[in-house]
Amino acid sequence: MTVVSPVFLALAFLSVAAVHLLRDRVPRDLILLAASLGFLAIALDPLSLAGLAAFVLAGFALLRVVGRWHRSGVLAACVTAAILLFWLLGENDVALGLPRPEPLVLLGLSYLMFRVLHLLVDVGQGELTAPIGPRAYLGYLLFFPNFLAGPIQRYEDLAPQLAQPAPTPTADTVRGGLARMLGGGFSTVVLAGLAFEVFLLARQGIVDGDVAGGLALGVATLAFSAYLYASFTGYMGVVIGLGRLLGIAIPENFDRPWLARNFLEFWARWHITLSEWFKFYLFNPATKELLRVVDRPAVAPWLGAIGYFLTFFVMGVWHGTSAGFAVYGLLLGAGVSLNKAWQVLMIQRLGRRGYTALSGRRWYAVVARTAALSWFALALVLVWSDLQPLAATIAGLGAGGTGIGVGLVVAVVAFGAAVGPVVAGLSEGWARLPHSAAAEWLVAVAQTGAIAYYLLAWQGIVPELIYQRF
Amino acid sequence: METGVERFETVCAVVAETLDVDRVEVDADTCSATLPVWDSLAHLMIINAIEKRFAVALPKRGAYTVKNVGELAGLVERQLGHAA
Repeated sequence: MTVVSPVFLALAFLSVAAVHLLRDRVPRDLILLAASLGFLAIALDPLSLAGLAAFVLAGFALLRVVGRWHRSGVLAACVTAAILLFWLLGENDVALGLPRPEPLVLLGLSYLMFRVLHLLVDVGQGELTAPIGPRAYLGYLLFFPNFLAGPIQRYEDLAPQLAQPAPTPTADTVRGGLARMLGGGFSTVVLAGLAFEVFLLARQGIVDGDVAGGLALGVATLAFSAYLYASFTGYMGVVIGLGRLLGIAIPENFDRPWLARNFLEFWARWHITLSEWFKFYLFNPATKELLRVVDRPAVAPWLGAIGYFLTFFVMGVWHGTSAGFAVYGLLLGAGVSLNKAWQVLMIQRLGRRGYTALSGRRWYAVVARTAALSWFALALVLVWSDLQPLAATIAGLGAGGTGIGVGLVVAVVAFGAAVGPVVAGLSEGWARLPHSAAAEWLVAVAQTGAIAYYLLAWQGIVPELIYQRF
Repeated sequence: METGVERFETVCAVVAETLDVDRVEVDADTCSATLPVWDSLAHLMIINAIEKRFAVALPKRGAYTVKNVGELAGLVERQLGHAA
């Protein structure tokens, strides 16, 4: 199931029609809850559905507990129970030492857990005070546009919208929503599909110890990064466009991450709602407590580096409990904490004004952006290759072949880092131009034609967004 | 007993001291966009310093999401009002 599969799109447009046609007779949240339950019934087999129901019901029971007893010990126990249940369901083969009972595949389970933990913590700490009944809970948790891979929308943002009647759609809303969905579909199908095909071809070409093998490693690394970006931003385009048609604002998850000036800023631009979730529920409380306990301003930046490392390491291992994901988490943690350490050292050496001046230099911005984006692209290798096969590949390629692969990645990213701001400027200029209806139609026809050609004539594959499986 | 104006002045002074910038660089609109040194870590340091200075525990959601010094001062006012 993807957001461009016919079943999802049929359900999406049926929901849009029902929300607007039945506006005066049936509350919008009930229509969307029915659509969400229908979506789950189609997307999941009975065993997976039972696993999901167990998690959702347990989440509600825990929510009742933390709402009744506002004690930190109760909250900690409930959060631990929710995480344990998530782990048992998601990693049951590892947790129980049993083979995974196929086809137990809980699509969107991680995102469900993030929403449940958000509710538990905020209700338990008295931040969310309005009572959350079963209807509001299920409507929020199972909202099908956000279900597969987020975004992780906050309860206080989504629930009040769901409870309101749908606004009367305007021509601009409909046109904008459909255009966003079509653009997202084009990115998900054509751009992500082509990148994924290149990735598959290149991965086959990674052979022992020659230049071609090293180049193939580099191409596979770049193509996978391109696939992931196109697939995820395309998914978000479909979801946000659908939200507009339903009269519901869904938050953006990406802000041109290729413009990030360093690795820390990258995470304010990539998978934004996930970064915000980890910042809110892990980085902030952990680092704030560290700062409070140590209470020495001189070491505060180094405590911050520890907080960043912890947060991004956990974010990495959230993807899975294999050794590869543990190393992925270490690489993310090392990236952000080294970034912070570099900032601290440069400020100590140059002073704040000197460091600000250095950061403003074009060559420095290109170097910093190249380092951040290359680091992320290379870390992503651990998402498509587990640790042992990767170690075998590197051993087979040798230092020379591996160096060629890494060098290719850095060179291509450096080129992108240099031209990225120019492309962004042109794109913003184009967006500010008044567009005629004919131009919008032209874009829509071109995207539709490209999708049709890719699927029917080229017969290309449509890769699933990997985040759905985490 | 500090007045509201004095408390706002104190908030500005604490922010300036924590971020190691001149007091004149801080006003109600000062935020992470106008002062690049105000990052996620600096935000937590400011919250800790404010809580210590006013001997008050700020609500987490409000403290983590204030957008500028004016909002932070408003949060302190409300919290001191609750505590009184």
